[in-house]
Amino acid sequence: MRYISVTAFSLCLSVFTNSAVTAQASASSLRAELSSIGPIAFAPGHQLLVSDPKAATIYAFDVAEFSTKGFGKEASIEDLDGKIADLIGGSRDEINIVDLAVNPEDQQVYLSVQRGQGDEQELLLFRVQAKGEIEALFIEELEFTSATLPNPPQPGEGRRDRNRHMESITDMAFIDGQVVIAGLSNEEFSSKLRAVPFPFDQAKNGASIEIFHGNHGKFETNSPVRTFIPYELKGEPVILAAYTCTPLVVIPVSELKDGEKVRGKTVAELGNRNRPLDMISYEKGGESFLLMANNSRGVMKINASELETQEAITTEIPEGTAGVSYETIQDLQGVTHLDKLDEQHAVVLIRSESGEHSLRTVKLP
Amino acid sequence: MTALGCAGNGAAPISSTAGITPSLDLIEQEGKIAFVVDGLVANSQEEQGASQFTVRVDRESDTSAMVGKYHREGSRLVFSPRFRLTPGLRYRAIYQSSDGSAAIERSFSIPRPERPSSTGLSQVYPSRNELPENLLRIYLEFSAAMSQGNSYEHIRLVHSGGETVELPFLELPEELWDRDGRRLTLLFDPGRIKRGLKPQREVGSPLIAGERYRLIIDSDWKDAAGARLLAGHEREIRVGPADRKQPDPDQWQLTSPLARTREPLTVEFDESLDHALVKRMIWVADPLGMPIECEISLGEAESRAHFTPTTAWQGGTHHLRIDIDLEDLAGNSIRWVFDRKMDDHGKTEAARDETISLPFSISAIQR
Repeated sequence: MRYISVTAFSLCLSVFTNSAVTAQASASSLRAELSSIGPIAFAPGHQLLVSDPKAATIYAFDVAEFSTKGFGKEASIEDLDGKIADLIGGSRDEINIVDLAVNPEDQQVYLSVQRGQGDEQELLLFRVQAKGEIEALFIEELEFTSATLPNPPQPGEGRRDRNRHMESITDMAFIDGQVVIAGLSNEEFSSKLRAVPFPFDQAKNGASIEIFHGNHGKFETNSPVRTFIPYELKGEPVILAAYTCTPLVVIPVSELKDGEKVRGKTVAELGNRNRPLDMISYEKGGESFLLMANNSRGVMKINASELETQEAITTEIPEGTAGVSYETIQDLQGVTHLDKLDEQHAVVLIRSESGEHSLRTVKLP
Repeated sequence: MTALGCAGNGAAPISSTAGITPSLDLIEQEGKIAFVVDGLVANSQEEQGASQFTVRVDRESDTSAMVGKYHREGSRLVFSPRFRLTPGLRYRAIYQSSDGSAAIERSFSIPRPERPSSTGLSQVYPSRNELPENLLRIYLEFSAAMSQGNSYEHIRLVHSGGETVELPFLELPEELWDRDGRRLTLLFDPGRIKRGLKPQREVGSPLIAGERYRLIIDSDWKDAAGARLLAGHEREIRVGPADRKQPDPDQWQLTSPLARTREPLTVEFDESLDHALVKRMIWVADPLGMPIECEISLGEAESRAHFTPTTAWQGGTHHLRIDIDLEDLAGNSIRWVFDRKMDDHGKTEAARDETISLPFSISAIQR
């Protein structure tokens, strides 16, 4: 005999049905104590969003006081790892550049960095100014607000040996009054987006949304989202999301409601060995484009104007491009992160074959 | 404040004015190392910052000065680095008085403690010899926290014919570690497993049914303390047919323990399940529905679990609770097949927190 129980066993289930996000406003006596550092992004008003995946927490640091002239259109920094190491008195091989984000208000480049491992790790933030001057931010001196994401599912209260589940944060963006966070579990195969109203406010709960991903009208999985950007399609705010298994999907922002299950519309398949890392959108010559960094090819330029008319891919296309068209920008190899500097330029983090990073400004293709 | 006797190395004062012989040394201050120039004119408030006193990583190329704070303590000017110093690195401190009357330069090495290897790969899951062609995950368990960031460089999947399988795993910059940094989850590229996707059509599944592979972990991989693994590791994998069957708790066999004992409840699954999810998504509820704290151990290639309570069982009808997101080795859950047909919604309309309950009774009498 077996039966399905949805609401029974409430004591235990409440732990993981509750998708509430708890938020706290800053107080001068509080110091932000990060336990890990992940993707970073900007929200309006010089708010630097910093993710702490281990603590399932998003911090918003007010960096308005640092506002100055941003990264120059001609600026570039070679051996960024080495320069960061010099500044903090470390060795280059301790430096792991996790993410970059451009403050849209002043074009300064911010970097999240992990130094060292284990008990000796240090979690760091840097900003890069007009001519490539790098400055360390003293995190514990910054004012902040924060929001803690709902605990990942932890059914079975009262058991041992169950605390090994971790939800990585693969990307984060401010979209339409909320911070949207894509996560990836180290255990079950699932795709969840979480949306937290911003500014963070204890009274407002966040939402957790399951995303399904179909292809060719045949099979679907809940494959995790790797990177995403806010976008407007036919006047409607949407999320353009790239999955770990390569397709590009459109998800309407209006569907990001707590407990919803959303099926994204697949608009492009990008082929094997083409795992997305980071993405931006821009306009050029009256047309819209996406620029996507991926792990094994040059940066891809995708014609986003075609998204307006692209129907969901429902039939199998044997060879070549499926869905919207794209080209590979051969000049840009090894790009691991990118962000938009202004309407004509992007900032890219490039990893050389020897593992060294450089930060460069490039003209949008 | 104590002076550190260690590691001083290098030049005597380049010059000094008569009567003043500044010295440069390391001190320990509140558990951190600081650099100090001593022997300055006690009342002078002139020398107090980066224009006179800098500390850099000692490299052949030009390096920028380190970030830190300066303060004067009588005849001393102290530089406290903002970030920790790295064992094994050399640091060069330079002091130059503002009037040019005194200058001193000295290098210091921070000793690197000997760290013998003590960390090993303790377990690879799934432990089954034969794995499905559409295997979704491998877990590597280490005896201590590992270094992160370059993990995929140390892992290879090699076909029995000798060729290395190209990019079998999803190489995520985040690397899927547990909180302690002791367990790494390797996800096979879902784009090559999910039916109908372009990568799957172009290059196919990373594992092919009927073939043999070796999973090779090299010993150059360092633990979190910077020591190499005790040894490399090889695990043979035999590949069987793809598994597109969902786990079915109706087929599970439960063997009840006796009341007032701490004998385990034994559950025989209908197939091997994901060991991490078994530990997180199956639990035992007492007759009042309260979860019972149990140690969970798995056996028979993760097709059997033992639930041993921390206190003796009470009599009555208990329930085994199973989250329907529980997955087998190929990512098929009780809720649905990993890559289901889109018109087959399985239990898609079911709530996320749905559970299945299997009752079993515990009595004091041996049956």
